[in-house]
Amino acid sequence: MKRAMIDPIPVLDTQRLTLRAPQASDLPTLTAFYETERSHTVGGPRTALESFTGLTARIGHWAVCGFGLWHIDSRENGDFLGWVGVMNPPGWQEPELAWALFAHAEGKGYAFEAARAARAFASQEFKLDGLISYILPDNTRSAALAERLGASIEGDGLLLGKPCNIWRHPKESA
Amino acid sequence: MTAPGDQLTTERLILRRPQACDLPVYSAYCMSERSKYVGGPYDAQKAFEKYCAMAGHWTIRGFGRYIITWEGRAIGHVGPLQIDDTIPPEFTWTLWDGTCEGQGFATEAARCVQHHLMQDCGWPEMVIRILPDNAKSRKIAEAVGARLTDEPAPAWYEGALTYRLGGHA
Repeated sequence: MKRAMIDPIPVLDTQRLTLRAPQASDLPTLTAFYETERSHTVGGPRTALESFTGLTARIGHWAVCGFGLWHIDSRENGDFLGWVGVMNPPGWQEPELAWALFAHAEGKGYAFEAARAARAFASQEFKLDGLISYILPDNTRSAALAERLGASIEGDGLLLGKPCNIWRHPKESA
Repeated sequence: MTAPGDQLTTERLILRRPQACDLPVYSAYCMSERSKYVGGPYDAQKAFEKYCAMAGHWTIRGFGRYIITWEGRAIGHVGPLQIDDTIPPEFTWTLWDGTCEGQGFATEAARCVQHHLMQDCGWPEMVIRILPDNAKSRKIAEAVGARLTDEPAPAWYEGALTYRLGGHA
């Protein structure tokens, strides 16, 4: 457990994206996103103070659990596009592959590219395979992505007080 | 300015950065009535997030809250928190378990961190926010030399008193 506290958060490069540690300079973008209704699929809306707590908690999650969320940058211009990774707070039935993109980053296949890389890394490095994703029933874009990733609905769950579908991803190692 | 150390030692206590093994005892505190002065009690999910945030704060700011350990046991936290980097860091302390009160642990830990930050590291100023009816914490603020101001409470901590350490009187 002590080891995870010291290890830096790994950096992954895909064809068009860099998955890297959340950092202080992400705060204004994250705060603005969490003040919008768009954030309702990922625990929002949240105040600026809650966004600060959320950002620092994302980093601490790696230290506490040994895995966590990456922030996604465009390799072309360094633009901060969203996040992807594995999270497992109390109330989650098991570790979840989670993702979200800002509105301007949608429709380019970035979430698919990022989720593929994160899922493969989770299987190899965290030994977490056949992950779930919690998706709200009205979040059709995320449901479509889950399907494209080869996941299927396994059942219903409750997350942060909201009913959602539990999607199960195929094993990377299969 | 010198960067704050990862670990400090007092006569009876070791103050160190958060470790994953502290989470259960911190969560028990957060989910208990003892967290009422800081917006609690919280549920398990919120306690987890707050603990992760305490660990991640060190990475983002290069300083943060120390875990107070006594005879190898984590009993509380003490140290600076900076949400808004346009105002001085807020100095905070908490003992997680009531049975550890009354022995001067919080004062001993707060004195050590205050001295380290302001003498060794050259920090000019910190603020302290305390609810008026939290008499024990107010005594500790006074013991470390903080002065009560008439500054209004921040929006996120309604009714709190503001003390200051350092800066201009």
